[in-house]
Amino acid sequence: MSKYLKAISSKYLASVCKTDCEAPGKSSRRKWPLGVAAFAVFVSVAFVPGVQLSAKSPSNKSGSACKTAGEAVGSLLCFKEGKKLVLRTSVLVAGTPAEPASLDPIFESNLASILVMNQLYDRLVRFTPALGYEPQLAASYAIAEDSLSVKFTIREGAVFQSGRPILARDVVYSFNRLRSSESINKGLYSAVTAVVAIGKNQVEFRLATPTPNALLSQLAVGPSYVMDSKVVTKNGNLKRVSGGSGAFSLQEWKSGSELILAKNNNHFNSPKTGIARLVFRVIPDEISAVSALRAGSINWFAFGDPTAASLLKGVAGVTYSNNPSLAYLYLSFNTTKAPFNSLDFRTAVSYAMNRSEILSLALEGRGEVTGPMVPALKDLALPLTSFPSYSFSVDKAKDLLTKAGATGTSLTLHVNGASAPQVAAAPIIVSQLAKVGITARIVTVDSASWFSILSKQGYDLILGQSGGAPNPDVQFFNSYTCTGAWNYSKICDAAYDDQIEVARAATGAARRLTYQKLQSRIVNQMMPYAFISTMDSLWGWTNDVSGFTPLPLVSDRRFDGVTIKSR
Amino acid sequence: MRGIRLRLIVPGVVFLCVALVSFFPGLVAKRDPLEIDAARVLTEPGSDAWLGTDRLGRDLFSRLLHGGQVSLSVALGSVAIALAVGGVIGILCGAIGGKVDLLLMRVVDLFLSFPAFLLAITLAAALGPNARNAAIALAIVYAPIFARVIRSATIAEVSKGYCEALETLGVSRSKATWRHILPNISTPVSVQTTAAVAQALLIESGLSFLGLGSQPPTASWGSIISEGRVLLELAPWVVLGPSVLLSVTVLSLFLLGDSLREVLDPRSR
Repeated sequence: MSKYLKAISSKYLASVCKTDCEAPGKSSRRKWPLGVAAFAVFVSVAFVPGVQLSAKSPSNKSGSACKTAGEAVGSLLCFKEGKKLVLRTSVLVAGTPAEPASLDPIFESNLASILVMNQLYDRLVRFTPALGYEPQLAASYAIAEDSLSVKFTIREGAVFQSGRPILARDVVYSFNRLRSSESINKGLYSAVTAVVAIGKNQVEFRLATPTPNALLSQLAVGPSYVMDSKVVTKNGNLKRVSGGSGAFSLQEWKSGSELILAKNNNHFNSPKTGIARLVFRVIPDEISAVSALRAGSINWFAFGDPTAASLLKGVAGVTYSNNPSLAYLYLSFNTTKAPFNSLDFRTAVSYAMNRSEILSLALEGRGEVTGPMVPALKDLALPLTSFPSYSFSVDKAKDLLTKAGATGTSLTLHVNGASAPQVAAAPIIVSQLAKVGITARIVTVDSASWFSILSKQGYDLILGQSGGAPNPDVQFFNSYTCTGAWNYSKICDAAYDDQIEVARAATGAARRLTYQKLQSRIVNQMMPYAFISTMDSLWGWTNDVSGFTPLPLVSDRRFDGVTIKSR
Repeated sequence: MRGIRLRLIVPGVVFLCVALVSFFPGLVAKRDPLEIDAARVLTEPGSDAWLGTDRLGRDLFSRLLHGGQVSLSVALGSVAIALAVGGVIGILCGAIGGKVDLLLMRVVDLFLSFPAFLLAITLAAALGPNARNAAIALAIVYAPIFARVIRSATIAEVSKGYCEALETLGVSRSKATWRHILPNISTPVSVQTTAAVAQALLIESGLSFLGLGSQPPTASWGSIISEGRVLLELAPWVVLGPSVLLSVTVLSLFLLGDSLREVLDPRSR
């Protein structure tokens, strides 16, 4: 037997060794105790509890920490990419209630996509927590004296995730793409007549009307991202790739499960960002998110259901945060159909709604009853007493329904099943409408179908929610003008369209007065929406996360500048 | 024999009681199941509200009974449709045989190759979320099962001597099936029916839990459990009522099926 083994080993060594090999018999006899010792050390380190390295393989894309050397070696064996073993890394796992449909700024405007795109792309400017503007990709901006153009200077040294420098022509390309016919967001830039490069690092936005504040506000929210033209050319679109300059780049997308982003070390805010890998994990059920936060399997989640969020109060190791936000809940009418095209009918519905009850029951009082402008914008917002139909009155509602010839109307009320506030508020509204003789049937739809139903007017009433905007120039223009990009109710009032242009161009007291007139017009003469209440932002994050600033603008959640302790 | 009767009567009475109060909830539940009352939010069970109230202040006892009406209607309705459709297919295949049997059974096999719950979810999602579509989905799931059971029983009866005698006497096949074979296959069918209603009730509750059954504000046992799961720590009574009643109903149906089999088939005693 030993002769046979010797013969095999000498054959093997002969095949492997080219030079400097010792005679087989001598070397194997001398080295076997060393091999046994090495194996014993490996076994003890790998499998004996308590001997932990807290190591992690850089190529372990899921980012789960290797608890033992065995696991660490296993990770290396699984991902043979020749990468060295690092002992510590920082992975932040953020829960998201819905998976993005795509990551291309010209095709998306929903919150799930915006949440991820905010990390992949930079905008020229962004909102501060106090809702002022601060430069992001632009180092500075200047408004022309005639207010018909705004010039941006691009930040020095700004590069895309590919390492390519960002030039003025890239900004021009991005906004021409956003304004192109294939973009669903083209309506947001209808006031822009041209985007022109001036030299290598300056770009000028030219406007049809003197509305520079509206432009700045639009550029600071939504899909106003700067995109890498080469990535678009190479892939055809940006649906499942990242072609931006944001703080993170897309590394892997596991459909239906999670998106894995890696830190972009070229980003201007990179030194302040202590996250090596950012994982967005899809958790549609908020009660599951509570359990995941408690267990530490996710580090961050933005809640919609106040009851679920409140379960985090007093939980050790988890921070619970409840902040006022600009987001609000509303009931939208399809004004292209009878009887919803009747102002009397819409006003009757507004009278029938007990907004305080909806706020108290569906949102546990976490918000404020609101009109077209949220109370937080106190310089401009009209008091609720200016809107007679906001005072709950069953009798007035019934009178108006009789006047509209719509007593005993049956209708559908569409809600987005992914939104906990909508799902909670819908039965309350149905109950309130029943008291004035309106029979409403709730239709719950999934997030993927939501915008299709909105844009095709495939509904009677919609219980919707908006992320809100710090500047009414954008919201009031896009939501209620005849050709507005977000005008899903299809309301059209020529007098309003004329007035909004005046409001957007005005400043100081004139601006306030015009906007107050517009609010009154929206509720008392147009009524595309019956506004309900604002919704506080509810957050939970594990205590190893620091530097996260809850902004009142729910569509602007960012992780650059955030740090998570290495595990 | 007395023991068997008791085993038949007890679950039968339990199920009948549940069905009675579910289909006539007004007999015992006086409150409107949809009435929202901000002053009674999450009231604990007591004399004012026997099973407590939910987060909108709705009376849970009333919702439980009205929800039972929805759950039982979907389960019984779907099984009735499945029995009718599957029964026709099964008898046709069993009595005629040949290519008709071969063709129809392959279609049946196709449906049986999917797990029942997954097939129900897929069909309910495709048809649209409401109680009627959930019933249709369940009927599609259970029709092939009934077709299989009834075909097997029919083939067993057709091969028996009395069927040959009937044929010799000139009794038509349809008349023989209707007058003689059908009564003789009623035992396996009735046992299968009780089991199918119990399983359909569980699947309906699962569909409603996932939002694919009855839509809010209409209650069903599954939807009440779904609404209450977020309140499990704060108000466990919300999920307790429907969970217990669902278990009791399903258990009574399974026990009823077992006892029926014992009573109707003396060989199994």
